[in-house]
Amino acid sequence: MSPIVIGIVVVVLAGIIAATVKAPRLTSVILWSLVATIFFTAALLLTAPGPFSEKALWITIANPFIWVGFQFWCYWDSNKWRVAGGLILLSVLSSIVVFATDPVI
Amino acid sequence: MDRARHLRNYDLHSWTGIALGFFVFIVAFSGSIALFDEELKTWEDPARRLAPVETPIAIDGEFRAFLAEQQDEGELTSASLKFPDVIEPYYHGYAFINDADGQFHRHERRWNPENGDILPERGEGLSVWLLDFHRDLMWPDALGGRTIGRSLVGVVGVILMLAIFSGVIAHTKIFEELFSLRYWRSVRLKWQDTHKVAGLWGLPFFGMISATGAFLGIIAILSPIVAVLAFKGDTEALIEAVIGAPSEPAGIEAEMLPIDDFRTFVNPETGAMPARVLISHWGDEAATYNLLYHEDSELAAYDSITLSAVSGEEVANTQFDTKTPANRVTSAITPLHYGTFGGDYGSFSAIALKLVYLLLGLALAIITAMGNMMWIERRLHGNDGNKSEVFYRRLGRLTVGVTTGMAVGSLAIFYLDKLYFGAEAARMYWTGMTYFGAWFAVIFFALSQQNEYQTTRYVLIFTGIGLALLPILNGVMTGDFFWQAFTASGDRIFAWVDISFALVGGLTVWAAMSLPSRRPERKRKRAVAQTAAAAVPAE
Repeated sequence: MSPIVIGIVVVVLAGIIAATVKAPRLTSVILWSLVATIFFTAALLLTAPGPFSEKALWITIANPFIWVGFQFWCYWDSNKWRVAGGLILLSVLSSIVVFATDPVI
Repeated sequence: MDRARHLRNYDLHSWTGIALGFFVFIVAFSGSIALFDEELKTWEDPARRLAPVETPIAIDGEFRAFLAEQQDEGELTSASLKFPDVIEPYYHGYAFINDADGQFHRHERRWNPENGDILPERGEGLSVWLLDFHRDLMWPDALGGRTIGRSLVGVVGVILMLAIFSGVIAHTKIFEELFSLRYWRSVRLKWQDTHKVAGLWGLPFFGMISATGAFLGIIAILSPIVAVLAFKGDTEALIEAVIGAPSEPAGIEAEMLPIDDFRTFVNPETGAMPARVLISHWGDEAATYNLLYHEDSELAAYDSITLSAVSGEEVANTQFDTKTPANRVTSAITPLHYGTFGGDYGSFSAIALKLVYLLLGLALAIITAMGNMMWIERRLHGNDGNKSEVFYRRLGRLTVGVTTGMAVGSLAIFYLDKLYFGAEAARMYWTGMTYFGAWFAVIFFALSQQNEYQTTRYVLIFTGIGLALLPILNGVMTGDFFWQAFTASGDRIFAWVDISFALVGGLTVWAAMSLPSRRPERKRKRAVAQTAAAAVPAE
């Protein structure tokens, strides 16, 4: 990986960390809810029982609702750190499931 | 709900509205017009204003010649033929080609159903712009292409869902607010009540349109992401796993049955005639004609029957025949979103449903704009906010410019459509330039004015007059005046479009004339005077 790309990645990561520390609710509603939705639905797709095509369609239909649910939680919960921490933890756990599970094909 | 949570929820509602309100307005307003893209096609192109023909002429020979012509360019991957109907009374053929460089091309041709004559080609413009601007914002390839635009529109759906959800939670007295319209009180209360009443009464529609829009939009970006995560980047494998493997050609040449034989192939279950036919593996022994029927008994876009194009026998088609619960839900999403489930195609009930969608879609756009204006009003004439008055005034003018400017931009491309004299290939380019040019001109005009109320009136009156004059322009430029359509045997769809323009234009002028030309201060002053009087201690 080129130093320029590494530099960009480092700056972006630093920006995300700074934004999360400064405004955990806002960063969660914009970013972490989306990341959690993507990884959580991918993990669900790989691990939930049932025929794949049916499961994939239901999860796709549910996707916007899951995303909105996470976003709403960001402002509903009284503890702003629980929101950010919860979404990051869910993303990490889901990504572990995704990368530890064999691809469907 | 405790006060802190209520405030957070209210903040969320305001935040979604203020940060992305313009975006929601743009998608809602463009969507309201996009509902009628099919009806606009004959208005747009005078060559397509044909009288509906009861028994269209056989088209097989012309269609075969068209496909053969396109095959010189590369491999024909698929084709389709749309049969004449009430809204689009002509044959419409498509050929999809992969050239030697792997580039994908789409070619189309239209034929007169009375004599088989080829209808003159016309560059894409008005109707395609109106539909695609709603679907993907016409997002330029240089910035990532239409998929990005479509995903952004999907994100608007998600934001709207969030705004609706937080808005409903914010209302602790929903049933009282459903019937509370205090028009004789202050500007703020009037707007607030209108925002709440319109929002609450339209809630089922707004919830449906945001959820289906979010699904249709974010699926474009979600599929590749899920493909990367679960299928190691193989999007085709994902699609195959979800909707089934596409059929393969046999590699043996075969004679295709005449396509005209299937124009009247009645669906045994519904008695309907096919609307169009999708053709796979043309010229191959495994070729199929997939007949699509407008669905009027179920909430689904199409019903379909797949036949062998060689023997005419029905064959299985996993991509269309599978009807699991999830399949039924997903196939209901598009007709729900575009309001195409109102009965027989082109019927009164179908058009009536679209008109209901139009009214509710415009209501959503107005509610969004009103939410923004309320937010500004609270800060300009209330205790909220910590920015300067200049800032809020500019924001108010920008809101007026963006919202009314979009109406002018949309109107401008109708005028361009009739006055355009350049190359057909550049029609879409100039449509876009005119749309944004007119829109930005209004934004600059609004920013340069001191009185937003007066600006709104001026721009809406201008838009209304412009709309009302469109039928005249159409008549002058094409020779088809709408009143003549009802005494002749030709197409009448364009005439109904003209009449709609005149009606909507008149209503817009009337509504604009009813608006105040400045912020009503009288009642507020009286209220202040009363408050001041009450504050004077009685002697």
